[in-house]
Amino acid sequence: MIKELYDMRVRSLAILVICLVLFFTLAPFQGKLLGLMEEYKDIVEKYAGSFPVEKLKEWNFYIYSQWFGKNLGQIIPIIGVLFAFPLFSREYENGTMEFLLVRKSRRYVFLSKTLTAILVMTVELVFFAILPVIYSSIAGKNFESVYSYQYMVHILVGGLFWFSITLLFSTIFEDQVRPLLFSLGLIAITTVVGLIKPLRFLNTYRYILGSGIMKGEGIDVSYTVYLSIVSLVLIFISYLIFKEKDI
Amino acid sequence: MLRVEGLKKSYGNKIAVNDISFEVDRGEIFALLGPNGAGKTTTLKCIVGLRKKDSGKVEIDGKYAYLPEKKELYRYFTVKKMVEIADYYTEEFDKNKAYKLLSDFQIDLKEKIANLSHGMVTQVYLALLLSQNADIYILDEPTWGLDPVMRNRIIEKIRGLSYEGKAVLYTSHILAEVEKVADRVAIMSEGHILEMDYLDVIKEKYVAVTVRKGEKVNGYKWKETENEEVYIVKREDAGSEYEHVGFDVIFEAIVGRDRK
Repeated sequence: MIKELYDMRVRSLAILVICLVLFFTLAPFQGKLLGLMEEYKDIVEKYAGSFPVEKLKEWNFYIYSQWFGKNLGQIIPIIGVLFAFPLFSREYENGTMEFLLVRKSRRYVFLSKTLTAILVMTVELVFFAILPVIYSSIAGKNFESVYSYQYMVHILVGGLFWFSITLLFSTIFEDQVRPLLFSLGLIAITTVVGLIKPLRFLNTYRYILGSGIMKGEGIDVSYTVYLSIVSLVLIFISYLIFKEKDI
Repeated sequence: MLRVEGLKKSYGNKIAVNDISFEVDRGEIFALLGPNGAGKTTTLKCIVGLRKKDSGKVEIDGKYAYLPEKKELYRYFTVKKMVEIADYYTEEFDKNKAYKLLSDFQIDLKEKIANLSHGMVTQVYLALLLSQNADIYILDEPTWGLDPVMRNRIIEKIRGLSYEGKAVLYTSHILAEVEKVADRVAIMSEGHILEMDYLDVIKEKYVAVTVRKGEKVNGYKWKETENEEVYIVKREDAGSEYEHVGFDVIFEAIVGRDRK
């Protein structure tokens, strides 16, 4: 586990810094944004469509729609991919998997790699989910945090789903590029195909961005269960592939 | 200590290891020899479980330590960190012994693996391997890329393992090294073991005979001239006129020529 933590220190730090930068280019500038919107009122009204621009004046709506529904929400699948793509493929590519597998069982290696990455990803995603709560309390904003925890469930499950898809590619491919490209390609394909009504369920962004949460619909339980089961199945298949793989 | 029986491994249609069997006893150094693609590395990988065998039995009585053909370590770690990682992952690992060996090899602990030459990485890997207390040491080309002085030191250390009662199974391309260190050898080609015995017995067993071109001989053709052919044959098939040959000639004839 120590090595696995060491291995992912750069990635997890980079993700942390990027998300913090995203948050702090957003949260403290509500007033500035509203001022700009007022200044360019005509243009905003022209392009905003059905988006309730006026509601951005409310802190709760502003932070939920812009942080969970936009900035953080949009990069959750990418965070899942970034945590998973090199886990196994880097060891294959660099020829270091042999070092591990003649010292520990395949089960140990698989679990230590997968669980460490899931743990670090979970810690970061939980932190990103409660970041508005922490910021609001420091900045003295009146914040209804209950939705944060509902969003937390959505981003954790969404992140885990894309993590598990990428993990599968990482156990199959013996270079780091293909797991990354295949996973990013799949994100793009499912998002586009998910625009077709009967295939809407393929578009995980609809769930991760949590549009129903702000409408007071709460956690999408059925999709949460569906994504969780698929994720667990994918992780198990990844294990079976890794267990039988010729090194 | 190690028993391999009827081991088979294929990659698609290509048979890499074809029904081979051998044993390595406690305190014995057993060398697997053969040209590139003979199936030596696949055999070792099947023994340690890195490759899944198609059929056959592998029994290891005790713990093993394995040195792969490609000596790759974590390039972003320093040598010291690599020792700590090895200590974390390896059962019965002696960290102090590793530091001592690395000091003997004059490897700087603060140096990053990425900055070491191929030979130095091999030395670090060997230091990690020799610091592991195992019953059998399985070494794939342990001296590949080392200078002659270092190669001799490693050979001494491998010999030292057998004095401690450890078994050693290893592969090498360097026949002079094999002659120095191995007790028994198996000569492999195209997935088969063509010859297996004590080194001295093999050297006694085979001699060279020169015959007229086209004459049928039960042995391995080694070379030919305009009118004659030289075969490496078993002494009992050689008749009265023969010459003694070195192990390198026997090896070359066995793996390099079609059996006649």
